[in-house]
Amino acid sequence: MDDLLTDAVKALLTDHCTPAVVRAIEAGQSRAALWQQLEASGFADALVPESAGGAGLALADVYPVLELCGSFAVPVPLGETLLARGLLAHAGVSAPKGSVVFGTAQLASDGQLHCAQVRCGTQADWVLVSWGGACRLLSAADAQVQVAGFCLDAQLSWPQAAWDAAQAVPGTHDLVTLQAALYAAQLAGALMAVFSRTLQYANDRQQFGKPIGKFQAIQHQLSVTAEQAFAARMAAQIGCRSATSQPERLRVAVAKARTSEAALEVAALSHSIHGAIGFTAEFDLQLFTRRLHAWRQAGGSESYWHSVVGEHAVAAPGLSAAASLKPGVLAVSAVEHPCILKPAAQLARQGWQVRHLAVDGAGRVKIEDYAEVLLDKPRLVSIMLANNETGVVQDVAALANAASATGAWFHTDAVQAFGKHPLSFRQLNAAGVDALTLSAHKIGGPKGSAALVRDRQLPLMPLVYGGGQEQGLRSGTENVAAIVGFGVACARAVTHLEARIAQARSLQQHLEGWLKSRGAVVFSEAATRLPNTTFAAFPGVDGETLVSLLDRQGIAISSGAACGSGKDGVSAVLVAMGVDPLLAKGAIRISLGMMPSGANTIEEVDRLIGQLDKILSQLQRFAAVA
Amino acid sequence: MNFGAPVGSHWIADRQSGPLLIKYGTETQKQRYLPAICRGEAFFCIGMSEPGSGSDLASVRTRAVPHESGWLLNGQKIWTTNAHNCHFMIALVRTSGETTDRHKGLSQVIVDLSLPGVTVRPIVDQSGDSHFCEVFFDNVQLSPDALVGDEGGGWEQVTAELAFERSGPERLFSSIALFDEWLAYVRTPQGRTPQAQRLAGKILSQLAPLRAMSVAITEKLTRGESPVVEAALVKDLGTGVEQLIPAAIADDLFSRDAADVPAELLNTLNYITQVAPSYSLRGGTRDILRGMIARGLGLR
Repeated sequence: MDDLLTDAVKALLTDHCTPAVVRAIEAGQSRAALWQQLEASGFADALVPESAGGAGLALADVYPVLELCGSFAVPVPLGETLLARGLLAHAGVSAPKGSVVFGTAQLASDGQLHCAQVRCGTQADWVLVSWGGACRLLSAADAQVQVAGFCLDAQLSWPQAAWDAAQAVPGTHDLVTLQAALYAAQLAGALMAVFSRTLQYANDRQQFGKPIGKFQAIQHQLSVTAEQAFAARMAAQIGCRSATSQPERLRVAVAKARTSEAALEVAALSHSIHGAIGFTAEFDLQLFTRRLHAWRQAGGSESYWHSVVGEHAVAAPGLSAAASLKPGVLAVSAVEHPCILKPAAQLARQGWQVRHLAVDGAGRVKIEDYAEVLLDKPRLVSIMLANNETGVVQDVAALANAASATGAWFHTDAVQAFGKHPLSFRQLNAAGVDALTLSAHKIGGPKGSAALVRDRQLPLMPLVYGGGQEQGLRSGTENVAAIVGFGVACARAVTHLEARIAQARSLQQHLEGWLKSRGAVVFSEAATRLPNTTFAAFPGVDGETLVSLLDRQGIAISSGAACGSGKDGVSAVLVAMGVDPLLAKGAIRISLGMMPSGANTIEEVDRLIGQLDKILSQLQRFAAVA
Repeated sequence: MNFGAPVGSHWIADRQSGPLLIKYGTETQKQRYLPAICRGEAFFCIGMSEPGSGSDLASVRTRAVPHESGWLLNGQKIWTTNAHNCHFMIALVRTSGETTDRHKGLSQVIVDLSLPGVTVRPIVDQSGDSHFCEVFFDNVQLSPDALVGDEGGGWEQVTAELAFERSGPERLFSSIALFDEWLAYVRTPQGRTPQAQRLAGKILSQLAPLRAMSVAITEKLTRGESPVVEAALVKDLGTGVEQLIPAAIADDLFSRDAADVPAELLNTLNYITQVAPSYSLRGGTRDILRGMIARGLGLR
């Protein structure tokens, strides 16, 4: 199938896309005859599904056609149209008749939409324009055309009204990557054409009584030309290796970078070997070497794509297993939520040394112990901003500062703190926090959406691969409904924060005042805590019992065991704080609502106090009887 | 390697000596050597270059003269990697005719390096290693079955063997340990710069297509073909990247603050820099390879 297609395209181009035709179109003569032949052949519909009248091929299948566009220096946008029609078909848009090229638009101060550097812009009937994340089909006939750069390229401008009236192409489309894949393939074709012409010349041209190819200097230049051409072809094929009609960005990055490098070297070598004749307009070499430069520049030159590959490399596993994320020291506080402790335990099984940072009796990370752990140069430190059981707020800015001085990355779990405590990632980042996590469900938002806020320098690897969502970091179609809900909840979580904190604080004091008068121990009282969280215990009174008795009265609190990762019904956080296990068994957590949509009132707190009072009295009566 | 397998001494047999015997050896030779190679009990080295015969391999002077008990071997080989740790050598020698006959009259023989008359002398190189050796043959008595393939078929055979030597994917990775170590540094807060990221991308963009080409060549070799020109092409390109790595990484590291660069990384860089010239010498110099490629691709 692939050879039939290639042979057919080659035959067509040999007959109808001769150097004379290329020159004529470059000189401004009509492309109609050539374009008719190409349209009639159906090659431009290769990627269009069969149900829509195309060949239903994948990108990998049409690579040879794209390469031939390069080997024949095709002066019309066959490659662009082929790719555009594939994209349009898959977006559910019927392609217009005629040639299509790609453009990226900017709105100028004159109110016009400018697409700079439209490749083959002078030969286009339609332009698939990308602007502000959206794509539309604009007619080239309506545009102001100004030749720019390569003789067939142009800047195209439209009044904004043209955009407004244009057909929208649904979906997000990466036209930059698509074009780069095309130009990599065309470069490969042009490189092969230049190589074979140069080889021919070295065999034909005689000097000193023999073909110049007999001279070692020429042989070497030819072999370097061959090396670059073959490596470029392999790279371009890699760029089109996709089972769908759309290319993969990392593969395209390798393809475009490598073919661009090769183009530069081969253009120079071929002119070197050809001597003066190759420099003339009359000789055909320049038809190809001008394109080598033009396509090297189009769709991003090598440095751009080197950065793309490099960014992936610096965030992704290395070439050999040995280079990928060598285990080191990981430091987490002893009071983290299982969402941190459990992955840490798993990493320990993979060779990481996990240090649990000790806390004092009030639940604060012990500074002297922390400094000692930092001497072991942990690669990552994770300390939560506010604890979900005790409500204790750690001095994360200071802790992060100390960590970054040793070169460690710092993460903080801010899930519990958000909406209850002032939170600024910018400020924390300035102090050394590299990443922070939040969840919608803790701020009255829907379950199923969360966020990782991070410093761009933090290298991350995906855990889940697939469609490339979330910048490739977390594939899987996004839960848009939950995310929108998260957004709404976030907006509310930051409104009137000071006032809500003050209100919750006064309720907390009221509640804790009563608890203590009734003989309860309030954990972490000495520490800075969230204003809505009370973690306490009545000595000798089982926490679970209080929870179920209050539940019968329609009041929901939790026991120390239910909150976290404790064993034997005892909170691991309290254990880490050195609290007596017997006392810890009595632990109850009361979280007062403080979100705008559901803040608890003083009446509700008093009702809780009333019920607790009754329950405690009953339990004491029973205890007395027993 | 985790179990202490002798990879350094095994790889030549694995890469080319074994495949050569598979292609040209007798059944007896295959039975004798191949299982021992697989068990890591037979290490092979390559006897090609001589002091007077580097790029002009066809001019070798070491001779194996037919003898009632087999072959009598006299001469000398040089630049023989790891000979001091090997059991056997497959050597290109003259078995008939004169040096002026060039490719005609050359054969390959298996030399048991423990035989009387064999002397091995390691050569110290500029990096302080002594991987290369001189090997002297003074009336070494080889058995009749020491001959590999056809008598006089040595040139065709050594050409095929060189395709094996030049084709392996490892031919891209001579300096990869340095790249990996540098990349690990680039992933740290101090190491990460836009320039370093671009350089990582540049190196990877060159390695990826080469690896794909190398795999394609291996497929041809497995099918019994002799992709001689392709192997030379990939080797020449590959050594270019292998040498680019220490040069470009040095530029990156020494454009930074000295205090930011780990000492271990600098040691690796220093070592690889000193070994790097050998990449484009061993297995055929750059100049020879380029001549081969050009002629192989259609120069009259």
